[in-house]
Amino acid sequence: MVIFLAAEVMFFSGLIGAYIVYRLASPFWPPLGMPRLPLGVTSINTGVLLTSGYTMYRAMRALRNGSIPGLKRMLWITAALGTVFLLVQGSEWARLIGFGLTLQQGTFGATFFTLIGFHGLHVLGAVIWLLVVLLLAKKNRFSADRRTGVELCGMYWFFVCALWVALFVLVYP
Amino acid sequence: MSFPGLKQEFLIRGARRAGLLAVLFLLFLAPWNGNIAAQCAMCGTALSSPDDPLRSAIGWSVLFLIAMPFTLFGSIALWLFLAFRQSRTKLPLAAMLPFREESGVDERVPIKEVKQ
Repeated sequence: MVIFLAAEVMFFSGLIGAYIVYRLASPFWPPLGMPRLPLGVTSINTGVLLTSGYTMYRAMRALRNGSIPGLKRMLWITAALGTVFLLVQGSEWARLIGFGLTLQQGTFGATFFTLIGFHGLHVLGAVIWLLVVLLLAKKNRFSADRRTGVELCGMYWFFVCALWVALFVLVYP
Repeated sequence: MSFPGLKQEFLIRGARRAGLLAVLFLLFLAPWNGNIAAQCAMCGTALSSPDDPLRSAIGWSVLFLIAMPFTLFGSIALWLFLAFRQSRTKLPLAAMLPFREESGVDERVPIKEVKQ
């Protein structure tokens, strides 16, 4: 899992490296005629994702303490918060496309949709993984001694949350 | 953090192999250094103008990309170091000694004997 996450970090580093080149080389950012990115809504959405990181931590702690109902409850909340994050991101994307910001529009659109889009795909994958873990938890596959599945999912979820903070600070202001 | 069910010998052997592979990889690269630098000619020509903002942008991007692997592997190394140290303080010395499964004999020394 650590090797997989390291590969993911390097993958996003490549994308961020390209973004840095385009952003610093451009005299205006966002380029003239392009909409400004929705900072307020995305800040709240960042809070939603960070809260989901905390609830994931609570889920892992509940399992360590042997509380399966607590694990299920926290996994539900985490999955719900992740879904809310994706829905808000989706609605913001729809608005930006309506304002003329598309993938083909230029480097601004291309870098924005590539970076944030890949992160969104990762969150989607993490939510699906979380639901699978929840399903397994309902079948009593986890206990205080058998928690590898939950901890691996938790590591991935923390990665996705931490990555979003970096992307948000880099892309949105 | 501890590694339940994971023998430390296995981890140490893995780390040694990874280090050996890294050294071999660097030795393999050594004779090719001149050719690797040849790829920079394109960027060098494109970024010859000192006032071009692209020059500074690529510089920052390269710095970022150079820093990432060091940050990454540094973090993993730190995490492993802390995990080893923590597991070493948690486990008694007897638990770290090898257990020969093939003979079925537990050769680990009881903790009391080790202390004496």
